[in-house]
Amino acid sequence: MAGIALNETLGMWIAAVLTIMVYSYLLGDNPLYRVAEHLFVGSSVAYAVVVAVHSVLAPRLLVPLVSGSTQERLLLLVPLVLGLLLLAKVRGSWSWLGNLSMAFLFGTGAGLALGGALFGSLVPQIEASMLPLLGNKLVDHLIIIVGTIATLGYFYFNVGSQRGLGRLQAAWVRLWARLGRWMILITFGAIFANTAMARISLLIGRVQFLLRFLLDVALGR
Amino acid sequence: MIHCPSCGAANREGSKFCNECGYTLNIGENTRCPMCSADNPVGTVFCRECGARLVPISAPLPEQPEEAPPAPIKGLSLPSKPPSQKEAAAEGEESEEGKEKALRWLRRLGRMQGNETMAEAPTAWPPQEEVPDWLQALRVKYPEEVPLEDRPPPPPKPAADTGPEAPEEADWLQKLRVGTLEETEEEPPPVSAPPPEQPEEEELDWLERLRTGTAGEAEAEEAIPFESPAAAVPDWLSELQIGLTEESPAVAEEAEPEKEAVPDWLSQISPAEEAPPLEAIEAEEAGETEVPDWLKDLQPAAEEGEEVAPIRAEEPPPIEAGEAEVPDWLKELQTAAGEEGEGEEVAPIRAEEPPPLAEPEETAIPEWLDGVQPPIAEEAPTAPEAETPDWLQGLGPVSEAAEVAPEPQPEEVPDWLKDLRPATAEPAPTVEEPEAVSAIKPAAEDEGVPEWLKALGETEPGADEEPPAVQLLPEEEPAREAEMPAWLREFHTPEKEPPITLETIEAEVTEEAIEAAVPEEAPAPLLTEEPLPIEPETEVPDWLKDLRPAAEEEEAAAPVLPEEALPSVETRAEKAAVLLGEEELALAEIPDWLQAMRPAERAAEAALPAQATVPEVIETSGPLAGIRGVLPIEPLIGEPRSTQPVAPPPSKIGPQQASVFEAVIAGLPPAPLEKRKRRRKGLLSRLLRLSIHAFLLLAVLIPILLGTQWFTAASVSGGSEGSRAFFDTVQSLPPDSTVLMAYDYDPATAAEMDLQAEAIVHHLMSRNLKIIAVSLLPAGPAVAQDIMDRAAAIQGYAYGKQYLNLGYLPGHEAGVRDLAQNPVGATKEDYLNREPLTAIPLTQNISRVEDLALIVEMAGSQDSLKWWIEQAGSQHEVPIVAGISAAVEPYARPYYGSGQLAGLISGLIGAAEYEALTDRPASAIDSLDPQATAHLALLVLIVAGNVVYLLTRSKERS
Repeated sequence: MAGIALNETLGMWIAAVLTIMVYSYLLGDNPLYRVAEHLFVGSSVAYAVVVAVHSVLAPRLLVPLVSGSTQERLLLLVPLVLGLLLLAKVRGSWSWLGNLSMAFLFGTGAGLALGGALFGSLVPQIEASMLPLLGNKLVDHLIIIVGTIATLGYFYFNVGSQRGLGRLQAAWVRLWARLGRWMILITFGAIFANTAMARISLLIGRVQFLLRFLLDVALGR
Repeated sequence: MIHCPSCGAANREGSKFCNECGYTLNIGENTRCPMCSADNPVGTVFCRECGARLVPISAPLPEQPEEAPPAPIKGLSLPSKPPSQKEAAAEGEESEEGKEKALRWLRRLGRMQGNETMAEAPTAWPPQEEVPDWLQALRVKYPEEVPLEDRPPPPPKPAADTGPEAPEEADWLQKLRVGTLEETEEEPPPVSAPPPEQPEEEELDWLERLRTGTAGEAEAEEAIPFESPAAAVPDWLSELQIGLTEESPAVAEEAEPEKEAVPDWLSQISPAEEAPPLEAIEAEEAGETEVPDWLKDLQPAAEEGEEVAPIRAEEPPPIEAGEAEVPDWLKELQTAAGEEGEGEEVAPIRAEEPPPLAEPEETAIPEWLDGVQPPIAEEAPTAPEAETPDWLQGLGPVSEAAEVAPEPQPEEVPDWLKDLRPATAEPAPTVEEPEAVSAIKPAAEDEGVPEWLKALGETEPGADEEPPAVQLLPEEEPAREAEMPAWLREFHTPEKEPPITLETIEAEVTEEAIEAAVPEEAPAPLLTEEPLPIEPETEVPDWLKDLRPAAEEEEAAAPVLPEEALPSVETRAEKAAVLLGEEELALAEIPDWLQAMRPAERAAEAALPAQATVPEVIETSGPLAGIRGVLPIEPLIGEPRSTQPVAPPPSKIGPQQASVFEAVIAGLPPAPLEKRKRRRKGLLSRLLRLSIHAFLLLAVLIPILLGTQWFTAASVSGGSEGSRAFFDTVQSLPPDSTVLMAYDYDPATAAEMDLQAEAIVHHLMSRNLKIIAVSLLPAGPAVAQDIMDRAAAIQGYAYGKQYLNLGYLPGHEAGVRDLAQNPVGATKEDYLNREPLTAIPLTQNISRVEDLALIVEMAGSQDSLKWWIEQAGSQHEVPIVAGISAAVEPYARPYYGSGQLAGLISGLIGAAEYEALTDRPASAIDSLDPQATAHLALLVLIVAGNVVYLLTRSKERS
């Protein structure tokens, strides 16, 4: 317990100091911030490597290769070879060896992303925009419908002919495009406000941590 | 085809030696371009990089019509171009013309060395130690019977004549220099090297002196061409010059400085006005110099006790050489000279008027020689004749009218030379006729007479003509020219040659000063300046070649000038030695007399402009014909170096660039007021930024410190629709059902997401729901384990039985897809104990994702949320609720709106709402007031900023 308490205390001190060092950037770029930044990046990468080795390579590849069945071993040779070929990307003259692995990765990722985006985002969102203009959510639905059409109209760049109906069509497209621009601006504002809100929450968490730390230090805990 | 780099002859490929000259063709080596240093294959004529010519033009140069007369004063230098007699005999005069022209540039360069006379003819025999060995061997030994002490004392030197370097400098050069200075200043300075206190005098180049020094009086104009070329005339030939000073006092005065430039032994036959300075110089060299051996051979034995008579133009020494000692061929000369008659005026040698060669009839001492011998004691002691070949002393046409003359020293003058002297019984009002020239003719017909002496006999004295122009050795008979050596023929003055005038000299100087090169008789060290090998043997008369080997042994004894006196010569000589690989080109072996030829340092400044105007010349003649960038040898060696840096030529671009640079510099530094304003503005902006930070910090810190609950009730009252849907979904789950909770956030957003996760875990545990945690981020499992452990400690949950941490799920959306298809197989073991999932009781009933009651996605970014929705929620029938960061809400809201998310908790407010819904207030609710005050602070700042912006804009517009 004493060891755990010491570790916690030491961890608290390190966290408090690093927090102050990071916030020193408010006064301008300085070595303290740089040190904290580099420590954060280095520790993050190191932790990711450790996790990758202990959580991925060892249980999924190395251990089965050593203690697994023959069929399992043969199957695991494929990812092993692909992974080793991926390391060839380090050297320019050998980078072509990793093209197969990269092709496998991009192919798999593109397929999953395309399928997921199509059936997980695009189609459901199109369906969700098919809202009835009735009921108590008329305003909400109207805003969603108008906002969607206006945003799409903003990205409609072909105004057509300037004669007769074409002229009217162009004026119509311009109207929706202008409305769509405002919708986009409002959306960006909402995103920015939410981001600011999230960062304020982080600030609050850090301030509460520091206050608790100072309180603990002051009380000798 | 390989071109010989030496002679330019074309040789077949693979030839190792030149077919023409035997030069090693260096097969297998590259030829380095002298201009760009690029390597070119052997045999390449032009550089493939810069186009510079690599091989000299082998063909002889075309005839130069305008260059009809060779320089009127071609100095009969000893080491002058000596085509072999074999060639001369075989090819004749026409066949040698090409070669002569090929080497003419060397002679021209020699003439341009600042002392035409010396460059072409080292007639001014330097002191004994300065004479090249091979020339020393040619010297005529001084009569042994006459000790040095018995010789006539040298003429007294002027007071400040001798400098420290005076004895090291060739006398004739000193005289030339001083003489020219005197001419410009009209005031005879010391004869020896000019004192360093008078840089103005030293700056005068000999050329400029020749040009400007004599310009002036009309009377002197005629003397100028005489005096100027006098410096270029070989010494022994200059003796043939008639004392022009007798012609008119003005001429004599101006000629005086020039006369002093004549070598010592020659100066003795100069007019009487030159006596003091000449004698002063000769006094330094008294007893030091000797007559070349080859002259000794020609010199008849002098009578014992015969004094050395200073041969002066007006006062020739009394020549009393015995008749018996005169060679036969010279006897004829004497006879011819004696027949010429006494009292005949010594006239300048003019090509237009061949001298009456048959006139001399006197067999003994010609009268003109007697008359020439001046009373030396009247003015100053004369220099000893040890420096002057006796036979040459007799050649000097002297004027009897010279009253101030050095003491006659007859012992130096051989009899046969006495005969050559024109008898000048009476002072000639104009010019004395060089009887010696006319007297030579009958002797020249003799077979025993050397060819070069025959050439002397061909000269014609211009008796009646005015003396300004001196024509030396006019061509008389072509047949005799054929008999002459080529090198002597070169100096042979044809009849068609115009008299030497100032204009001709200037023209020659301006043209040839560009081609600064080696003097004609420059010895090997000078010739080695040329990168191409030049065979010195071809430039030395054959009869001299035979004498040379013996003389070379004494080269080591030759004194060397101080190093500081010849820095450039040393370096260049050494460099040339390295290039040619000739050890004999060492610095110490440079003949002293040649080193002495270097004028004073300041004298080069006058010549520099002329060279500066010549940028880069392609050699048009000589063995280096066609080569570009050949270094001018002669001026660089012969001309003194100036320690003062030479200003670079003005550039046209320079002023423009300077103006642009000035403008840029002028615009760069802001005015002090602008600097102050900018600094103040920066300070204000920094203060403003700090104030905003402080404002936000206070907005967050004050509610925390005060523990206010100003906005809590309003924020959490009823909660948002998403929070309530989330809560309802969890509430609707049957007990003991398994919930998959994905912790897809890391410590960077833990301050916001941990509050949501704690509230949700507590709610799940309170509902006795089994929790399986997983994360798509490496740092997520640790966060999940910490939160669940703390909640489990409160709720009494057991790890492995009621909650489990699967750890990190790699592959992002692929991992989600894998987990959705096989929840247990995606992660082989748990995160905490590394136990196989198949051995954990919690996962025994989980074989597919539909076995999960709910998926709770804790998304710190929109990507993880999308992956779960797209790969798991849309593919499988499993409800998904999400607790997201506030920054992700704009992306997550559509999924909640579309029903793809059963519930949604967003940010700190969502966590507070969920705590309020679960009736378990915790840190999220406590953080609502700081969050709300921070939002208000942001609103205030936004409003204030816009107001300031509007005010500023209106002020700017106004």
